[in-house]
Amino acid sequence: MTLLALFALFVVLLLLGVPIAIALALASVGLLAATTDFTLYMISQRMFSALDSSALVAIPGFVIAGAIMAHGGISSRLVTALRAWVGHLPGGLAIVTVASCTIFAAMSGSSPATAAAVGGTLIPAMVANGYDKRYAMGVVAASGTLGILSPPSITFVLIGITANESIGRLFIAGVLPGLFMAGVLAAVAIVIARMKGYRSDTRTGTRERWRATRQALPGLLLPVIVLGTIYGGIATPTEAAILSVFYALAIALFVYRELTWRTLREIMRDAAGVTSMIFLIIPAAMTFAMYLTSEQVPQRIAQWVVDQQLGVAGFWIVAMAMFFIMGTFLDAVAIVLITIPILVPIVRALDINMVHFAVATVVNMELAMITPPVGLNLFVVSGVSHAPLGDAVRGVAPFLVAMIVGLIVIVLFPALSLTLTSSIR
Amino acid sequence: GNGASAGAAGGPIVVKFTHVAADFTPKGQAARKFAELLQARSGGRIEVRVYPSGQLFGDKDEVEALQANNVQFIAPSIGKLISFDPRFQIGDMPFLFADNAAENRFWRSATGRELLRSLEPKGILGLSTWPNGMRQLMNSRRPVRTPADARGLKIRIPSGGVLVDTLQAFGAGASVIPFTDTYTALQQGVVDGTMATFDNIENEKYAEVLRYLSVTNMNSLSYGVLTNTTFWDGLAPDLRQVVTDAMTEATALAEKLSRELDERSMAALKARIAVTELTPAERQQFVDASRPVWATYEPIVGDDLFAAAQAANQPGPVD
Amino acid sequence: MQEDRRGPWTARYAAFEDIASGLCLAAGMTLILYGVVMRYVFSTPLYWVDEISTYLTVWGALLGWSVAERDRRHIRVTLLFDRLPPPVRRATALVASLVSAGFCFFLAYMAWVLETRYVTSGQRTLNTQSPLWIVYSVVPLAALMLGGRYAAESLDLLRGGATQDPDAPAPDAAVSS
Ligand code: NA
Ligand code: NA
Repeated sequence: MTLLALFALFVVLLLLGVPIAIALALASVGLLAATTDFTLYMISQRMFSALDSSALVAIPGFVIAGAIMAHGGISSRLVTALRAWVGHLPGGLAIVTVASCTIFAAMSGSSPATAAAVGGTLIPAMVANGYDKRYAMGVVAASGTLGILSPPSITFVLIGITANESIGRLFIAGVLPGLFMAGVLAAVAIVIARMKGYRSDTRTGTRERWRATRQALPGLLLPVIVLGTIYGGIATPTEAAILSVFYALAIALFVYRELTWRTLREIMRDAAGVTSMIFLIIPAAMTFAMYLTSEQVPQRIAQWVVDQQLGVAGFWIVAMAMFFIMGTFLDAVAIVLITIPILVPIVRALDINMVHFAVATVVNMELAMITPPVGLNLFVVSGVSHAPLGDAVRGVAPFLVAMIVGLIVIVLFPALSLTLTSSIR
Repeated sequence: GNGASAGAAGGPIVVKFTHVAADFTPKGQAARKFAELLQARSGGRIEVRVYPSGQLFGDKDEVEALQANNVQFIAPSIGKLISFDPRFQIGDMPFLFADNAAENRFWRSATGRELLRSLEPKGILGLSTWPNGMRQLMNSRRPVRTPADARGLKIRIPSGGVLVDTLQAFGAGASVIPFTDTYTALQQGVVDGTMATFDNIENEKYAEVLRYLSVTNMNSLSYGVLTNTTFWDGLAPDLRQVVTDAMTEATALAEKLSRELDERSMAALKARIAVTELTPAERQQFVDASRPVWATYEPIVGDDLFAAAQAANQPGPVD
Repeated sequence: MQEDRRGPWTARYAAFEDIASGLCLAAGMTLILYGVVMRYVFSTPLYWVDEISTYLTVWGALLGWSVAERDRRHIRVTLLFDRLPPPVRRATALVASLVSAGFCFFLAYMAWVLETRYVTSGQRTLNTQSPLWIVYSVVPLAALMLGGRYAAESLDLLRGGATQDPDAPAPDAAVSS
């Protein structure tokens, strides 16, 4: 009864226009106060310690790099070059977006960081090229989720540890499904773009294309340099995000010379705005997750799934549905830590390949990033493009449907996940 | 909220046990054993909920959660207690404890018990210590037999303090890299290696990305099983006895599982990567090189603790 | 540049918010760069960089809570709000601002209680042995600053200021450009 009343309160607060983060935190505090004997002052501790993780620093890193690129003349040159090459093709820029997210996914272990890295530049680019802003946000939010499916991936690391499965094998297993999902997203992007006629009217000449490319070269090299620092053993993925900030800063200051102290302050304010929005939602969502975990709600649901004594097919369907529903409001890390240990025995008992199951779980956690009310990638794209959440949700909807279909394919065809792993001990 | 209160209808006392290890590890199994025993022997008066893998509280907040009585049992590495008192660095001292059992004997000695009791004014009561093991040195570059081999290696550590000074004494560098980034950092060579117990090597899959393991037994890592004083004081005396007895059995299980894991893990690692076992002379070089670290920390940790630690190296009944 | 009708103080305060959060974020990033350079170029890894840089970044993000509100960045559901008649909108906005202010001040109080606990226990961080009450002092401050923004919004609505489109910048958002 109390639970229901407080859930109703949460919905009312949301509809009144209370920020999602505050509504979520208030509902959690209400639930903790009304239904448990939780010592309340620890809420403040929880909200800070939820952020006290250097892996999260990649998010502000890519957000600030994006702001510098936008204000420092890097993005505009990239956009000019990209439009020159693919602007006339229907959905050309959307393909570039999916490809960029696939590349950035290889640098980031986190999906919101991937969306932040690409969104700041390519959403404005698509809008400038005549794309609907909602669609542009949807493409970025959806393809940003690839961050956790390809290595490195914090989600795979946690599954490897909680399920006692080789992390290296999981990393490799994610590669083909990652490329497959990128292909699915690109296909949907092209179909919609063709239907809506997203393209610029003029085709640019070859000389103009190369001129624009030369001018944009420093910006085009950013992913190359950041990838180089990770795979060359220079920096962790988190540090690489920060290196991208200084690379962008150096280009803006010394190559394009478009930065002033005044724009620097604008950049930091812009970046602080997006970062802080996300860094209020994360602790609020973690507080909510703490309440649910503490009351063992996800544990009991997972245990219920185990207790149904389902067959292989039934288990797959129920488990994937459970992940999807939990993913609407819970963070991927929380879901993995809580449910995987409970599900592992049944996965093994049903003779389901744990690596295959882990890949399907991670694809499901990708969906969690783009389902409301708590979908970090939706918040990132809505934040970097300063647009209402509703627009991001509507924009991502077709991609969400496509990704669900992609998930079903990945579940039905284990080979997609397992082919490459046979090369690993 | 005072936590752990009895249900309104006189239901069982619900207590929470959180830890950061996976459920299948020795610590995870010991925690479950403790919960089962407590539940059964209290005749259902106590219900224990175990939260493994840092689901509910993690390294950054479990001690505070215990102090606030939002959780009633936690089992962090004892070294984490240096956030209250630098003397808890004793376990990290290089080559002080002969083995992990010696550290556990130390914590059960009068000196060790007194140190744990110093946390009682802060709401923390030490119930037992569980083994994790001795820290070994792993890397991706070369076999390490002497401090000279370790020179120039960049080693990942979980947090600063004694480990930094120890590695620097060998001419190696220490880098704090967060848990979630460690696997990738080792794989790509951002750092050359890590220090870990067999338990951690197994769980965090370091053998997948590192090639060399030196059995240095450099320092000892134990978990302190801690409870909240308010909760403890509020327990009926007979229930306290049930808790104590259950803890004794869980500790025995933890020790057995940990010993088995160390043996099994060593054998499994030998089949996969290059395992270097040091000769006494080689090990002595490490001991000699790290002596200055003792000197640095003796004023902080105290001579009495060093003496008690060395006394605990002799097997036998504690005082 | 939009003229601020409430005088230079609000602009100065806004500048303080921007600079406080911006400096912390910039310092955190710079420290991470320094750590990478020391480790890779000079083979001298620094054990304290991870902890301090993370704290600086979190401080910057928390101090930015109010910057984000000033720019109307905290994400809201505008589904219903957009369809309301203007007078109802005003009342709704007022309730939302008051509820938000209330939560922030509650959070600030909770954080204050935590601070007193940390001062008493003398607890320190694991890496650099920094007092935790200093590390956590940003929480009550950030909560107060964000609560202050919501309180100001509430006052503005009570005084008859225009109802915001929930996604439009607040009146004193534009201190520059
Ligand atoms: Na990735
Ligand atoms: Na979601």
